[in-house]
Amino acid sequence: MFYLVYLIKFTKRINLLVELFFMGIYSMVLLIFLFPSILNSFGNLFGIDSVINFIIYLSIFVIFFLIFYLYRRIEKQRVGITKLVREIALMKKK
Amino acid sequence: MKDFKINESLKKEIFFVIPVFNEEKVIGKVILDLQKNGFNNLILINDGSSDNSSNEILKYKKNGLVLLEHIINRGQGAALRTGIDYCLNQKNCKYIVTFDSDGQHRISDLSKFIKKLEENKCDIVLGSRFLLEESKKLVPKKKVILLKLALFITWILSNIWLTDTHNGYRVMNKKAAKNIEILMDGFEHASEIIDEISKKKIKYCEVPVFIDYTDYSKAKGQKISNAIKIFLKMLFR
Repeated sequence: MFYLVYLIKFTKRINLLVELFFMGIYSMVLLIFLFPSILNSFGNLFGIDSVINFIIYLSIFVIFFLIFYLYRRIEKQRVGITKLVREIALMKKK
Repeated sequence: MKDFKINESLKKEIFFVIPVFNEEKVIGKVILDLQKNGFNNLILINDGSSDNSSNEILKYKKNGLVLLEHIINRGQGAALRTGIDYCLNQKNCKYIVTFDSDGQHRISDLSKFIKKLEENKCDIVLGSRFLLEESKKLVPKKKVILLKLALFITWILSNIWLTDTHNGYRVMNKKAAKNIEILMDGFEHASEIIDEISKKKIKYCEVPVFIDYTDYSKAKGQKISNAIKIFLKMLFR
């Protein structure tokens, strides 16, 4: 909460969704570090034997998904940059 | 192949698209050769060169020579697209020739391309170094392996069997130029063009061309790592 207020007031830069997402990840990791028994409760709730393995596999899935998503975004930007460069070249023909 | 002569009025309807990247040493000779043979519609695209290519090109500025400049380097594919887009807006443009700036292509081979197009046998004519015995013998061995691999991959991805898929010497009419969409910036555009020909069922044919391999042009040629990049880019296109 204090971090969010700091971002809004002092940096004037905020992408709320992204900030909340990463804050959520950090909070979860901190919680598990402070209260490791939470993992057992989580596992019992969903019938998962090895929660750590589940978290690792889920993380790998999320990371690959993000890489794929970023690749598509970079590709879109590459096409956009090339289009701009080509338009400028045609406008400034010698 | 019976000799076909390109008359002076047809020469005025032929536009050359020549992407240039750091070719200050040879571009002057390429331009001079074309102008001496009566071809003045030269569209040169300086693709963010870091040398003096631009000034070298402007030394030969005459009626018809146009220099388009990419403010940053984007690749041969992007440069070709810029040149082709320019030509499509010219009313007197009938045929578009993609021509390398390193002096590997011979202007004397052009008549073979134009003959096929004038006879309406195809909308795009592709040059092939492997259809000419004298040219085939001069291809460096490493390049032969790479190009043969490229043929096989092109056949798998585009279902077209050619003898030379990465030859920069092509001539197309306006109909083919409008249909072929080049989105890839780098050398992979050559594979993309073949893919477009296949997808859009564009009439194509091949003609034999001579490639002049010099130490200069061999040093600038494609590496094996480029070939792998091209394959991966075409796979994930």
